[in-house]
Amino acid sequence: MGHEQFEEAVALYAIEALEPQERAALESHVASGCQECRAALAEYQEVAALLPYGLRSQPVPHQVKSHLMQAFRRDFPDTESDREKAVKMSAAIEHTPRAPAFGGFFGLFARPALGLACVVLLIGMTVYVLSLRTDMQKVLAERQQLQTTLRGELSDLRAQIAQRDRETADLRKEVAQREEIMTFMRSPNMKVVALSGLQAKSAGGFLLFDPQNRKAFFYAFNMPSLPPGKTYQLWAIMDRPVSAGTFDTDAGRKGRMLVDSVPGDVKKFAVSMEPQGGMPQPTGHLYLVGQL
Amino acid sequence: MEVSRNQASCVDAALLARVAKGDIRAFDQLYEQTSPILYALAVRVLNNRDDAAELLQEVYVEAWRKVDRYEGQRGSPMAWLVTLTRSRAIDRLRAGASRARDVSRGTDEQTVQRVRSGAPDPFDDYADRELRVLVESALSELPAAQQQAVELAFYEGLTHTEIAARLKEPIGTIKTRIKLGMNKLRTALRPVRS
Ligand SMILES: [Zn+2]
Repeated sequence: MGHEQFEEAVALYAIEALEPQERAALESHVASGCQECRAALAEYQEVAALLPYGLRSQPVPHQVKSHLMQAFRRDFPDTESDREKAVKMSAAIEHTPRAPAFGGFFGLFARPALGLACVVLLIGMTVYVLSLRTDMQKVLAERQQLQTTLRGELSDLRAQIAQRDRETADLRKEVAQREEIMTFMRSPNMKVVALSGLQAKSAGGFLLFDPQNRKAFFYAFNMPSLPPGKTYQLWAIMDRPVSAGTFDTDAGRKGRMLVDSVPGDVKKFAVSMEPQGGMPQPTGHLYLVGQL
Repeated sequence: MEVSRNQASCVDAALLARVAKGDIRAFDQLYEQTSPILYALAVRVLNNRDDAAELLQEVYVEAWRKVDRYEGQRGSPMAWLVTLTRSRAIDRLRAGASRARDVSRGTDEQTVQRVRSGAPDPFDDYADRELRVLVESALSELPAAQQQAVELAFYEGLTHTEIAARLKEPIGTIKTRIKLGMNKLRTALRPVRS
């Protein structure tokens, strides 16, 4: 098989978009020794591994780390526990040749090997004491770690409560808004204006409009995300456009707005993207447009 | 604090080797450096935070158990961890283990879920800011259709045939979109790759 047909496959392989038989074919081509494809593949795989850097960071729940630290300790119990060290020490003492009774203090000098054994023992003790100290430091560090984790969890809980409070406030607002919409719906004069997307075809909106009290509720969906410093602005168009207010979109790319007073004689509605705060006249592209 | 210590892109093979030997501090460091990105990846694939947290735990356990088999020539340690996380997340997705989906998931357009440029990210302390900016801008330079095709494959584990069926487009079109998209990303990200 020719090498050309694999050039495209390499990019797809790196993000696992190939079908199984195509994947196998590419793998055997690379295995057959095509250095060019091998190099391209490595490069594309590196690119693929960078893709998650484009995602919004998420706060990792604190308990994940504490569970993992525990599991890690279980998986790697200290290779030399204190007890084992103690056993080793006593074994070392056991095997140290004893000074013969008659040798006395001078025996040490008479038998240099014995003197050496004492030095070795001393060094052994020092190492043991030092290792105990390291263990102690480790325990302290771990306790500190635990404290940090607990503190993190506490602040997590606080954040959750704050979040619930915000959600409750949002819900209250939504209920109030719904009641207002219901009032619109009950009005016998209520008119519905559908707006369709111009820049993004999937975008759309509708406007519930009561010509009698001039109030309107506006709802937009699938709106393109707003760049920083921009807002959407609704225009009521007669002979010329008059601003009916600005609105931003939520995470679901939806926007809602109550218009207190729609100017009389309105024929059309449109939405454009404008600098934050809105403009007296439309300056940006039109995103939605609809006729009464 | 030294900034680079907290960057996932700086995780080196030596750190992994220390983890393999059971050095808990090395693991602590590895976790701090890599978990924000791996968690974001798991959340993106599974679209469920609880599932993602569970998955993340499994991935790290698997990582330290397999770390002595990690070979440096197969890319950077971070690439290895990303690949491991992605493939476990997609296995889980396919197994349908993911519980109730967030209601926000739905249209394919939502696969275009990137960091809004300029928006401050509260986790930048941990994150590799420059790399993020580069990847983000590389992705935003792609035509939406190419980005969508790449993301459907990478984050949802779909093959080109499945993507074509999902989007009701010819297979050839999807293959071309992925090829062009990946090619552009390769060029744009060349400066950050060693
Ligand atoms: Zn080749």
